[in-house]
Amino acid sequence: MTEVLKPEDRQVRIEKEGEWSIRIVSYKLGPNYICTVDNVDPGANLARSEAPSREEAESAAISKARHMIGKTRTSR
Amino acid sequence: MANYANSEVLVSTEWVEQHKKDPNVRVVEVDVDTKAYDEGHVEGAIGWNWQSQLCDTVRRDVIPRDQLEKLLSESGIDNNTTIIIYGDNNNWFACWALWQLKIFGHKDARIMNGGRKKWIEEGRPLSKGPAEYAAKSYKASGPDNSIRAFLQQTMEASAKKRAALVDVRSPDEYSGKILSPPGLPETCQRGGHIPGAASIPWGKNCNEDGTFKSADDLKKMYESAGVTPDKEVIAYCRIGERSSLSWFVLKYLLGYPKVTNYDGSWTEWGNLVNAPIAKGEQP
Repeated sequence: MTEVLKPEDRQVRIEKEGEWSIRIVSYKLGPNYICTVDNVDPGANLARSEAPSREEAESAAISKARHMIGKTRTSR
Repeated sequence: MANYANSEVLVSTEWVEQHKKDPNVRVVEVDVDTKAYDEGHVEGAIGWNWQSQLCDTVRRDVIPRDQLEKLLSESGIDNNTTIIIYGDNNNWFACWALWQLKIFGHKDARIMNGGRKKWIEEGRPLSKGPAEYAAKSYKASGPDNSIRAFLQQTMEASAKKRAALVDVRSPDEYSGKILSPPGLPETCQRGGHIPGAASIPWGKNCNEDGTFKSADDLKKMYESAGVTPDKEVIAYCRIGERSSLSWFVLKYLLGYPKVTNYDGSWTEWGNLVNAPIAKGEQP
C-alpha cells in the first residue's frame, strides 16, 4: 500500500552565509520535518535533512550547506 | 497558457492532479537533488536520476539511444505515452530530460508548470515509495542533433558572430568572479564567459512560484538583449541543465525556430587550452 502524505506548514527564509546567500525551506511531511538548503542563485540544492522537529532538520541541513559553501572557488 | 507559441507543452499542477492515473499518461520526476523523489513525489510518478540514468556514464554525453529505450520501456512508457515531467529548482532537470527525449524523437513530452516547488506549496499530496509499471516496448529515433550545439559550432558562432549566444548562469559566474555556483563541485580552470554571449540568467524565465513568465514578458526580455527569432540561438550554462530550461522557453514557449542547447557548456569551454574568454559584465 502506497503511503500518501500532505506537506504542511512550509516555511522559507533566506540567510547570509559569509559572502553567499542560502535559502532554507522546511515543511512537515507525516511525522517528520524536511529541510532543504539551496544557494539561492542559481538555486541548486546544497543539503537536505529529515528530523522529528523543524529545528533539528534545519540545524543538520544548514550545517551541511555551510560546509559545502565554504568550498566555493573564486577566480584567480 | 499565457499565449505561448506551443502551449500544449505545459500542464498545470491541477491538470496533473486530475490526470496522473490516466493509462496513457506517465508522470516522471527528475530532480537536481536526487534524494528528493524518495522523500515524496506525485502519486504514480516514476523517478529518474540525472546522474546515473540520463547520461552516458562512461563518456561525457547524453544518454545513449539503447539505454533511453531501456529506461522508457522499464518505466512503462511506449512511443504513444504522454510523458509529464517535473522536478525541483523550477524544472531544471525536467527540461534536461525533455530535451533528451526530443533528441530521441519522443512526440508528446510536457512540463508541469511550477514543478515540485509549486506542487508542495499548494499542499498537494506526496507519495512515498517507488511507482512500478509493467514494462512496455519503446523504439527511439534520432538522435536529432538540430537541437544540440557542440563545441565546434559554438566556437564558430562566437568567432563569426553568427548566432545569439545566451549565457544563463548567474551574473557572478558570467563575469568570472566565481568558477561554479556557491557550494557546487563541478568546476573549471578559468572563469568568465564565451565572447559575445548575452547574460540572461535562467531564473529570469520564472515567476516566484516557479511557473514560467508570460510570453509577452519573455519576449520582451530576450528581444531587449538582442536575442530575436530571426537569429540562431545557442544557450549554455555550466553543464547544460539550466540552459535546457532556457532552450525550452525559447523553442517552445516563444517558438523560436532555431535554438540549440550547448550542453558542453562552461565545464567544457572553461577547461579548454587557448579558448577565447571574456571577463566582466559586458558580452
